[in-house]
Amino acid sequence: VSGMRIVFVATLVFLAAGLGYLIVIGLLQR
Amino acid sequence: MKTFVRENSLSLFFGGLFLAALIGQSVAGLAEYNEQQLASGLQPTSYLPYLASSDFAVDVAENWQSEFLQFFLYVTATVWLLQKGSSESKELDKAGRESDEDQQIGPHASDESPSWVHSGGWRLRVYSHSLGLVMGVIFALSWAAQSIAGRAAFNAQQLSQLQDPLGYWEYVGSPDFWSRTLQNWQSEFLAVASMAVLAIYLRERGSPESKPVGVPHHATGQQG
Repeated sequence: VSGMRIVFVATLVFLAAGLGYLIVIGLLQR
Repeated sequence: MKTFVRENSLSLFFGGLFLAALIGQSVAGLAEYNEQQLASGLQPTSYLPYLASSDFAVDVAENWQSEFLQFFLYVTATVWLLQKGSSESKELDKAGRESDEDQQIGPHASDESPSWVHSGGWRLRVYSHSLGLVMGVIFALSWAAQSIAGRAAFNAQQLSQLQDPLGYWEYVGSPDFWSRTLQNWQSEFLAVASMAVLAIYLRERGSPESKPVGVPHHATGQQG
């Protein structure tokens, strides 16, 4: 797997996880 | 390994800066949060519970949404809108979606073009807008996260002051939500407008964000 693909996929995974985390935190504390 | 670092140094540099700044934000944010808790006669909290708090989440999300809005608007607005003399603008006769030849699609695709370019149909249509779509979706989700966590944090403060909590749509119409939102937007829009204009007359030798140093001021859409 090429380096640029690793960086791309890692960025998308981080963004998805980060957004999920921020949304879930807010929902849990309503 | 050495090649990996060199070929991805831009992403690694900013990824590292991001993590360092986020850790700094969490440490300073916890200190500020605890100062307020103590001033209100409430219990201070520790690091991990603060990372899982709506106060931390809203502070992170409000900055994320504005950055992704900025890039979403920049990516899409620069299709149509121009700035004469700016490296950030396309050439003045290129406004719009451009020809299939310019975009290397249809009969102008090469063997090395991305696979969805060869697929054609809906895949090509989606792929033709994938950067704007993803930036727009991240903006929408982080703005939603800001509204949800912002409401939880706002209501926690309301309850500690024996005031009524707000419903979701009440919070979305509240001064707290729009103050957080617009204070981030204004700085992004100022920076984008300034960059587009300053890049007309100013240069940074070797930067792809600048025109080459010797290129005349009226030259539009050239990158160093």
